[in-house]
Amino acid sequence: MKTTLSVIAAAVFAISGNMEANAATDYAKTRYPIVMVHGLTGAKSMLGVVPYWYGIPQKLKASGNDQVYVATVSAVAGEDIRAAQLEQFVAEVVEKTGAEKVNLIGHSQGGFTVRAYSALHPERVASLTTIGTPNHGTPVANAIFDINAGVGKVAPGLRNAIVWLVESFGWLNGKLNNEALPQGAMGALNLMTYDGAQAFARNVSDAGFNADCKGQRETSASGEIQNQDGSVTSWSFPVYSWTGAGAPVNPFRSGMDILDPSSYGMATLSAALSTFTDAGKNDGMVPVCSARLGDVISEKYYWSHVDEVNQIMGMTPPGDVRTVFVVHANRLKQLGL
Amino acid sequence: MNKKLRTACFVAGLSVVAIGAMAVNLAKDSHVEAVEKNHAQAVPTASKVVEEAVGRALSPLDETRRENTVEKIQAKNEPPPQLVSLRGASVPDVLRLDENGDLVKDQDTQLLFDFFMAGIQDVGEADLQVLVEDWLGQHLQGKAAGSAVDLWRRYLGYQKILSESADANLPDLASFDLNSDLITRFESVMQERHSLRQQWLPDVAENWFAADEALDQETLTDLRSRVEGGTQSSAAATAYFSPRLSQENNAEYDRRLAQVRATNGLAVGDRAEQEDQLRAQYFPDRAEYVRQALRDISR
Repeated sequence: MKTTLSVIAAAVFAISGNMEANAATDYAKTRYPIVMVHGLTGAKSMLGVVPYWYGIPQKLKASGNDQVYVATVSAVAGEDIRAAQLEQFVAEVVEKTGAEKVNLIGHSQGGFTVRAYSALHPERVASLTTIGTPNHGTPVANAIFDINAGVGKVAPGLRNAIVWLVESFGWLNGKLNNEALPQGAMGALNLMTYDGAQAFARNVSDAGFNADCKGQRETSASGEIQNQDGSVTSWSFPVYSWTGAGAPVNPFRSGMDILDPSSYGMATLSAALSTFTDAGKNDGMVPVCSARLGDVISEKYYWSHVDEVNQIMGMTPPGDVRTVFVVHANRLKQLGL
Repeated sequence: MNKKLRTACFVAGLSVVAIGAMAVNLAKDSHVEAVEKNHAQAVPTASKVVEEAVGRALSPLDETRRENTVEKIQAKNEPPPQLVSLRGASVPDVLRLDENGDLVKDQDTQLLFDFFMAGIQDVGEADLQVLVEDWLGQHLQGKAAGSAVDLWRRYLGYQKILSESADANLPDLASFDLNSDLITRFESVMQERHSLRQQWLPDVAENWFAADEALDQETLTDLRSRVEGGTQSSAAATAYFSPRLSQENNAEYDRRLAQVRATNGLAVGDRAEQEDQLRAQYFPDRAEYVRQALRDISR
């Protein structure tokens, strides 16, 4: 408990400590706290020191929301572990704030984490949002499994791009954090395969999900839970998603992103996915179609998978990634959430 | 093949793929760029240098485009319907005038502009410019309206210039490494961004970007310290939650699940159905069923 509280305190301090500007507006002030959950490899700050959601909590605060909590769950683990960690985190947020519910936002694998949480505690969920989450699976995960199993059907170009990306980022994170590469990657990747994602939807949460990513989706979920005392609690929450559709390395459009090293890995992987798989448009990691869940806010953002959380250091193509979060917070506010 | 040679070959191959990706992007966008650059427009209050840059950056207020683009603006706080990704949110109600009737150019004004910028992918830059200028025209009058449009154009121009950093030095892919040199280049980029802000938006740069730049500076300093000072990890960075695994594995369930998974000749759907039934049998409580499903998927 002490550890948990200290981490929450650290997260709150990290947000408020950096934020000098005073909000003159309550534009992004939601009724319920916002809890943000990172993706695979991102439990710590990226590259050791760069906050995963770079500048996003600060921007939300500057726009009037002082209830933004950045969860830290295991960097590389399956949802059996991460969802349990998020349960602890949300419980502490609820205890600290007195809020009945939270607005959950997950990026990449973090989308699965918040979906899993919503299945375990739907009555605690005010809204559910996934960003660049492979809700229908990604060929990257399938290819990694095939590579790991020594199956020869992965195209060499795709294999090389994936190996390079994994080794680069794995090495960088390992170097800066003084750690061996984390174990448990296969558990995390399993649910991001095509079959794993479908199994997740079938057995854990199908809120806003259609097995056919091109099909119509429900934009909200609702139901009832039976309490131990026999009473019934009704719950409902809206479901949203958005994703980037580009892994841009275009001198005429990329702007500062051209200097973001991750852009090259994302662009390479995006090209490999488009060339060697049927992924279609993708953000360098996740096909656009796969990311669809609930009400799709947009899938036209000219962002890579890394840009979606304003990495690295906000060197993204225009406009401002952070503002999409601010607008979304206002959207939730309009719904009384 | 020795390791160095193999690495060099791999990096060369990777570069070819990356260049291919760039070429595809360039081919897609080149005609758009050409069309947009044919339209030039100066911004009244900008310096000559800025004017030229704006001329390159901004497209004109084409009346045909205006007629085609601008439908009746919705109720005061609803975004223009063309900006579909902004649906459900309200336009920030933040425009204010001082006692002289001048526009107050504070962070709330930036919030308004950023709000519209968040919909740029819905309509493209040229139409967004028209939409916002019309919106400003409908909500402000006189010198305040002119001031707001001028500031909006400079903000859009600044964003456009950022996106056209074609002369930026490309990072050397072959030496892709988070080292002091790369951090120095990050610092250089941040300085360039700071200069652009001062050049394009001198009247608001401090107010709008000071907090952002403080975060950038703090992060870069921390990054450099970490790279140059070794690989110590901070306590905050390693403060993980200890996972709370709520239930011991059920040995009997595990054994039967393994049997199902090992059964030959089962179709994928049939195997999944049998797994689901087995799980439901052993974990009738919904929450425990979900937890076990998460464990099974993660195996």
